[in-house]
Amino acid sequence: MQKSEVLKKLAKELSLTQAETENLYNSCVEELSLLLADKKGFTLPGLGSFSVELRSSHTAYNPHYRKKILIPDKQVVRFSQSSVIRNELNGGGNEQ
Amino acid sequence: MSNKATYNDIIEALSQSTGISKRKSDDFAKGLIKLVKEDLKTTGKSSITNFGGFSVKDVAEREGRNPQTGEAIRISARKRVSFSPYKALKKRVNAPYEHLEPKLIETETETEAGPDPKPETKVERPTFNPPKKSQSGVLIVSALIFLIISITAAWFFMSSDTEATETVAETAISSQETSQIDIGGSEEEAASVADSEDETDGSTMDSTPEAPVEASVETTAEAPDKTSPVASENYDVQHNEWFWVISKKVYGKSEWWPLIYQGNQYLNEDPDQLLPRKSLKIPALKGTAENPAKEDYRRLAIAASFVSKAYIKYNKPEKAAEYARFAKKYEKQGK
Repeated sequence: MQKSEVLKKLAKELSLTQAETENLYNSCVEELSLLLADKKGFTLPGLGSFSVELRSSHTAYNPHYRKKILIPDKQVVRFSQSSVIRNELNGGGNEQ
Repeated sequence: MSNKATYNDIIEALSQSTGISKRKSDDFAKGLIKLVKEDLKTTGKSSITNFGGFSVKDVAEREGRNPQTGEAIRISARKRVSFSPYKALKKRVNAPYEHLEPKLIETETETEAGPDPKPETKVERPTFNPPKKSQSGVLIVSALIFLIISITAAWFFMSSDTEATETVAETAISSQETSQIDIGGSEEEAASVADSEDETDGSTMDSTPEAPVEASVETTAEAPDKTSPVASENYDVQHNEWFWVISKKVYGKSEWWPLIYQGNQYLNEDPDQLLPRKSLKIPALKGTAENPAKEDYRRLAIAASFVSKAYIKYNKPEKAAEYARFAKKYEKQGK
């Protein structure tokens, strides 16, 4: 679904104007990005939790140059799905 | 945990920054999550624009163990939501480490090579097959040795000291030879600069305790005198041209611009800037731009790595990496 469609739907649902919804949307994304840039994790209920972790430097192989290559440290976003959505996707509360 | 923000924190911040009531903000967030979930369930894909995309992936059945009892169990195939952040978010999260770039390990790495241009690389045409290893270092060293020895030799001759004269003279000649050989092979050198560092050290130690500063000064001064056999024409820069454009004009292919840049390396400037200079040296090709000789590729490889260094100097690591890649590519083509 595209952003514009999402905005339309939400605006209708919340009885807000498109502009207000867009404002909300943008600040929401900004907010979440800021948190992650700040290395803070958070949870979106029902969807999953986000966190930032350090992927430490390691060596890999570059097949093109046939050489080992050093991949430096990197901070990456980590997502872990919530159990709610897992169960829903896997056909309702079958095992843990 | 202090390292986590709660959902309430997010909603509060959201309503504060937009000026919309908390209740509405809450509804909005919930609505957004709901839409994402719906999308995931129906199409298996969803996204929050400017944040990231979600997709449902199938995980195959696998063996697992009960962590408490150690007993083996089968974990059935299932679906899992995966998230991949948008580029902007990735970049933002990685901001503290952004300056780090992947590096090829060993040999080829341009360890120091220095920002100072190496005029020797201008000299071309390997007439005799030079030994492939340890050239650039030896070149500098031999130039230095040659210089010192010739001075001392001259001095010795003057004072007509019998024994010492002969030996010194001999070494002078031999080092002269080596330096000539090196000049011949100089074009491969820039490519394998780092290779030779070690050997260089060994050979320098016994003969020349002098500072390397002197060496580089001397070589820069000498190099233009050894004149490249490659003819180079001059080109008058017109208004607001830069290397790319000029290369297109003179060679017919813009990709060859590093040659021009390198040929005029004393400019030592940001390769991207427009040129106010009146006249540029245009190094001639052995083949044509359409049908280049292998030697041309080798020169281009050197030139490209030179450009890459210049980019590093001017703080454009991406472009530097790009041209370092080009250099590797051309080097291969030159073989």
